[in-house]
Amino acid sequence: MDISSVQKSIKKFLKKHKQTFDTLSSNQSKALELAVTVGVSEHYRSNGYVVTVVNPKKSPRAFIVKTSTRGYPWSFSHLRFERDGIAYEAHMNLMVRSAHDQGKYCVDLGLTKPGAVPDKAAKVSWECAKNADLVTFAEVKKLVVYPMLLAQFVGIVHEIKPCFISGRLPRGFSKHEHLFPVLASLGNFSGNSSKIVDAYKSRNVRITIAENFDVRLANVRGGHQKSPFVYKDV
Amino acid sequence: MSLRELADTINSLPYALSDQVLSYAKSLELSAPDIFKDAGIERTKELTDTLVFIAGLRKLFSIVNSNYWVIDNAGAILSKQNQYEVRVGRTDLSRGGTYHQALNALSKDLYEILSQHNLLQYVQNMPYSEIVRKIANGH
Repeated sequence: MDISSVQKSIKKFLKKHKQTFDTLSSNQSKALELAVTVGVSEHYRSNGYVVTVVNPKKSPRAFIVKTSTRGYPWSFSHLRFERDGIAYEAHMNLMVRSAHDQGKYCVDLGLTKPGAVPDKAAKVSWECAKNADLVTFAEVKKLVVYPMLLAQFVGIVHEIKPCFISGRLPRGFSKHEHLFPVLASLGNFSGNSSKIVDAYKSRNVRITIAENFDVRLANVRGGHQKSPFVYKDV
Repeated sequence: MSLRELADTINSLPYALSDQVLSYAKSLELSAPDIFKDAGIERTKELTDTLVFIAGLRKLFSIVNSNYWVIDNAGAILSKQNQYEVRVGRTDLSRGGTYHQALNALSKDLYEILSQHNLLQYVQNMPYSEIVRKIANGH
């Protein structure tokens, strides 16, 4: 292998595409949050839900992604999932109340009961969704899945929806084929993290770890997989 | 090709990206003794440096590819719901938009370079122990 020749080619390539790499660097997290939103949507569709995109009134034709805590929720798109007359809404970067105290957290994607998030400016300023209105949620990272990332996610679930760490599932959760709280990541399992995840079932820790999420989404698109959160041949 | 030389090769990347590449290559360097053991090949500095360089390329390839495919796949799936325009603030993430096209060009160029140097097989799914065997045998 002629390393110095490869080195020259790569340097030239990086210089040629410098501007795109600069943009990529600043867009990487945004793209990932869009990906998890689409992935959750595909999961519910694969379970028989009708998915509707609800765009903000100001931009009815564009899907507007919310990637930070800033901004009113009614200024961004959200998704509506409906099956057998029961509906849920998926909101990006949703502020939600802690299960334990008055703390507020922002989840990358929150699935709520309908009406939990206002669709227009309210008279009283809106702070966050009630914890009881949050059904499940997803977090996304552009990292490999390492043990301390798993521990951090378990901590998040404990603060927001502790029933998935211990205790009983909410009524109707399985019947409605909801997702357990999801940690989606661009990376693979590192170190002993897959052993930790394998043990969750026996510990009754009900969370979904979706490593290599970009690959999973590509499989959904290619028709090899119905949901990016469930490996199943179709 | 030591880590320092890898850093020099990618020094025009934005810090956030070069850090991802170098962190990955460093973690691979730490795992190198086990990889060589699995491969049944005696570890040398030269082979280790080549392996670390390949790991850096693999990470770069993965960054470029995953970003392109995430936008492309998300756009394809949203288009099933007649949503063709996707925006984040002022950034257009639509399929067929400027950014998507730029990522496509980036991905194609890198693919071509790696093919020209017969490195494509190393940056895709080949286990590192197999890469070690191949480079030790002069591939």
